[in-house]
Amino acid sequence: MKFEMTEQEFKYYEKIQNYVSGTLTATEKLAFEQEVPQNKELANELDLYKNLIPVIAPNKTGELNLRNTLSEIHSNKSISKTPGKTINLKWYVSLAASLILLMGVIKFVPFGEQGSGMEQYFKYDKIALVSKSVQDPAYGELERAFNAQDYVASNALAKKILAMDSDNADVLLAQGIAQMEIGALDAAIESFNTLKNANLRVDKSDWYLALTYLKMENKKAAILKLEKIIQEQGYKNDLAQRLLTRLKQN
Amino acid sequence: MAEDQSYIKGLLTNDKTVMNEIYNAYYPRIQAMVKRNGGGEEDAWEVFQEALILIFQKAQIPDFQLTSSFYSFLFGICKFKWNNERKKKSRKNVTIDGRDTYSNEDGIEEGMIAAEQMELYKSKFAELGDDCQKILHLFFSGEKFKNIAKKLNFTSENSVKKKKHLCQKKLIQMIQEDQRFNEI
Repeated sequence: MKFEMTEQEFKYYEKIQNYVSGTLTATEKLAFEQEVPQNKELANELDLYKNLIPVIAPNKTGELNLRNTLSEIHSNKSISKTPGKTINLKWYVSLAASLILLMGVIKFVPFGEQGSGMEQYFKYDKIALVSKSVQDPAYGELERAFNAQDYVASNALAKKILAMDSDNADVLLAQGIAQMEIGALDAAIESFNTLKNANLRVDKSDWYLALTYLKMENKKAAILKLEKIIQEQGYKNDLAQRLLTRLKQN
Repeated sequence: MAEDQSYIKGLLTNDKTVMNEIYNAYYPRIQAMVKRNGGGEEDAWEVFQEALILIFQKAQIPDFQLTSSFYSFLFGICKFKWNNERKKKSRKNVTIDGRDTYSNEDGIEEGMIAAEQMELYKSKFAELGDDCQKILHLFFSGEKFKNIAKKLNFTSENSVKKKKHLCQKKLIQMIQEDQRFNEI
């Protein structure tokens, strides 16, 4: 379907945009506000326009700060819930090791796809952040955690680094993959879109967005991304082709 | 209600004292609801955290006003999110036991609608073409048309403006044509 816009529609959208951004004159603003209750279509579009703001341009920094504060509160409460318990370090280490092993087994399997051969699509390149670790050891820790497929730790470390180095493309990409793996799918979408919108790792972001949509069971969005990758001969083009064929068959 | 508005303000300003209050007052109840409906501690924490992020996002909307209590709104969002999560896992419809002596049904409904709307808008935005996503993102992030034209290689400000309006029209149309839009 081809989308076109008449002069009248153009003015209509212009008016909504100027009202929300506060650039109408006092008289224009009053006239607009008087028109809204009389015009249901205008009222609906104005409402949608406003509601789209946090969807299209989420306040990433604010969200990150909020997540960090909440995690801090939650961790403190979880620790204070078990007063007097002595942590057996040996037991703790073996539990962590078991968890990592367990994650190694389940990490590539999207919801409901166990044993279905989907694992091949969820394999990630190792990351290298060693040069940065001179500045801050967190980079090295993230590299180790991510390459060991410890995505819970990777997500937490990436958050910490991004609070100071918000444009680091490798860290953002690692965070997106980690979020996807731990099931924070909305957050993963935002991470990959942040990369794309900053024109960083655009081709890789498309591939990971497709995988995230797949996990979200939004097959239509996943197909669109895969078709784009194939059309542009982008990252993991061959794999994208295989996945697309598979999705269209099912 | 004044307390509820202070919660919104606290989320927007990342006020740790306020967030502590929210956590202490409401997390145990959300946790109880999730556990009662087949979830575990981690599920409850994930749902609670994502619901607060959603409220934070909604609070960015110009003129945003809570018309129910903060808790009912939060509970409704959590209920929707956990319902969805369970559906994804079990691949069938589930009914969430929403019993909660402190909440009123109207407010819960409002929270559920907010969560469903957000999900619909996000999925439709994801289905837009890359050019449209990029132009709308830059515009809604406060970038001037002049700069967008330079960044995205448009010949004039007016052509960016026209493209932006077209993308917006397309997105709104996609949302309105979705079956869920009329059901919400």
